[in-house]
Amino acid sequence: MKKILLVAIALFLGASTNAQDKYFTKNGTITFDATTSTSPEKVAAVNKSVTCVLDSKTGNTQFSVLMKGFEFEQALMREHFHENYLESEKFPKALFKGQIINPSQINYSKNGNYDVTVKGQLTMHGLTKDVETNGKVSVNNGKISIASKFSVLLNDYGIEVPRLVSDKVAKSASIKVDCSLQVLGN
Amino acid sequence: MKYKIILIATALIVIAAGAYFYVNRKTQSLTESNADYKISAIKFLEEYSSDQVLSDKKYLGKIIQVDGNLKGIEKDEKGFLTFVLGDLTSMSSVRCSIDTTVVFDESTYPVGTAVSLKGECTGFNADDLGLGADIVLNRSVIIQNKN
Repeated sequence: MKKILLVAIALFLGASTNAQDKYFTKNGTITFDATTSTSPEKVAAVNKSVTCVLDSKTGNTQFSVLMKGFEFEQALMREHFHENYLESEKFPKALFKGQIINPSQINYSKNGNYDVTVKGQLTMHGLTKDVETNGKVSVNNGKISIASKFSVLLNDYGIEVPRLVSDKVAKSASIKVDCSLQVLGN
Repeated sequence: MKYKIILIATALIVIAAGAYFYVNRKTQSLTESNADYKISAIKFLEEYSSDQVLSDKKYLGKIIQVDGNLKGIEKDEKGFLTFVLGDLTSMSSVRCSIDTTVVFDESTYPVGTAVSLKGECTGFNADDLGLGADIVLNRSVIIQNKN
């Protein structure tokens, strides 16, 4: 009987540790900006419903982004983004699966900003490409947040901008990621 | 001849003004928009879970009125709010990202309140990450507090 109890406690502790290794959010923010110096308006959109999971032990990181969730101030820009460029109905989701390549350098129990390098694959508009970028993991009194900024070449993902507006939309879009995470299981 | 010039000039001004307003129109609040579909949160999740492709064809980009029990209101660090609807015992939810123009008293929406919201369907995240499945509605507005 004692043995069973000990095994049960060990299993419970094991499960708790695993849950605490993972952090997540469903309210992450990604900003897309393809403004050029000749753009009459900011060609920028924000998505506030990004799902992200980070495994602090392995450094595995995953993002899921619903393309229709990108919001623009201007209605026409929004229509063009979803209907003509990103074809959001045909390709409703973008995914990033990657890994922090130096996860052991982050001390999740000590406040600080930790520079990290993330390597992985980004799938967008039906095409998958390797991505490597720098980012930051911040620990502040148990609160974990991650941030990164990188560029993607629209052409790499088969996103075509009509010649008529090609000088008003950048060929390389700036992507800004900002997620405050919570412990998975809480 | 003079009338012809005035007529053409007027037509050009009207066309230019129309084009200007068409190009510069802002994304409108959904408050006055009619819902394309009205559905309960639980039925909505059932439909998406059984056939995501078909549901995307039906609902993606459409304005949905969703009714359900409030599982909670989440506020991120920037102050953006999300109403989470569905079965209180399930990890899966309909997540309604609230339009930033919406003003309401959070204290009148305790967990379990029956609520009705209207928002644009941006899609479905299946339970691939062990976080439960979610349907996300954007630019959501509160229709009424049913209690």
